[in-house]
Amino acid sequence: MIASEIDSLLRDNLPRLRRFALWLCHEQMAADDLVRLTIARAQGKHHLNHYYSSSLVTHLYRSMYHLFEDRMQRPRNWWLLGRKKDIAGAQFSVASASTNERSNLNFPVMQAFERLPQEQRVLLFLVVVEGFSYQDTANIFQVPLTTIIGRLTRARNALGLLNEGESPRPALRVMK
Amino acid sequence: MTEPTEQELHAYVDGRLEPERKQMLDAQMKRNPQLAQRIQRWQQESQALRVAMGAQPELTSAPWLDPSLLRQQRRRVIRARWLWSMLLGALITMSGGAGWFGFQWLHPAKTPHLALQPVAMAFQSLTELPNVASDAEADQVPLWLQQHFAHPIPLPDLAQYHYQIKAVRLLSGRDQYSALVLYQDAKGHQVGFYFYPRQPSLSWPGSEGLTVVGDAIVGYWQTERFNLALVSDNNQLSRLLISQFLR
Repeated sequence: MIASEIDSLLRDNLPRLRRFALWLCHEQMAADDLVRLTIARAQGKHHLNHYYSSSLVTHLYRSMYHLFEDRMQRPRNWWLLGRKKDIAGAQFSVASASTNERSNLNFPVMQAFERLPQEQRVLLFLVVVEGFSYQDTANIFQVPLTTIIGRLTRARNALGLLNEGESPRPALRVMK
Repeated sequence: MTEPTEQELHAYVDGRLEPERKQMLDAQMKRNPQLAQRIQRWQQESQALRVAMGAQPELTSAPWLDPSLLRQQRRRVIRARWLWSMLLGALITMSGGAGWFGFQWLHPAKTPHLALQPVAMAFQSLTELPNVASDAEADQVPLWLQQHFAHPIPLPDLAQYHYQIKAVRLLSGRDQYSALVLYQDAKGHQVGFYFYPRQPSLSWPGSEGLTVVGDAIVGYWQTERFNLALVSDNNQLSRLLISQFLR
């Protein structure tokens, strides 16, 4: 596949990518940077076969989500990049702080939704809003299908409890 | 009738269940109000989420994120980085080379010139001989030597340093002679005078210099016709004598 074809495919998916990035980062500049990184990774030679062997969108989302998580977990690694491009790693940890800035908080369900752990929010976003199949979602999270189903159940239960004004049980389980 | 799996419950909520399983689940929900309530709540919340998220403002177009543009930008960055690294590499190589040559220039190698090896060897072999020239014969040495060379020999005047000719040896080369005249002072200190006619095919270390060859110290110089050297054991006295003579 030649570069222009790849770019054209990426261009078609750009609006979705930007939406997901903005949804993850809550902030336009950080979101654009995340999109830029995701596209760079998709255009990188080492990833071509991997990307176009199956669903492009799934792989783009997977790539973006893991880039985002990397930044969240290891902001120090991005210190230089953040300095250089004037994007501090701190912008990526605004998930809980900036909920008031969200335009759609007048929906009661969103208030409950924003109190969920990030992973559950991303999971519900992908399945419910973006309409990914369970298998694709499992691919994005890089976990088995059964794990995704279990997590989905927990996420929906937690959302229900929060929506009723209760706090969900702590995310701890007795493992035997 | 099989019990619905967890995945089927979610598929029902998300509207992805096959029609026959959906009918089965509908029937089961009628019998099990608890299950029905749970599923309906999931459905309502999912629908609410879809509406809420769908209400997000549309993004304006972002020409700065165009994949082709990003690719070009990245190529430019990579090319610039490559150029810089090449420049840096060239700089390091050049400065290293300059440093090396500069060091060589400031501290030239101390290995003696090959042409001076026979000088030292001739001196050392001759000093081991017994005294072969008497005082009377010593006067004849310059005349005798001159017979073997076409041009006048610039024999050094070492008498001012109280050295007298003690021995002489004519050494045959491929097509000419070279000669070593041995001088000695009253304390038995010996200095050799070595020379041979200049020839383009025979190399000589330079027009003038002082160097150490093995145990010997050799001061060499050139005239128009001859390559010449003073040679002696490497000690302070010899060094002083030879360097004074060269000056």
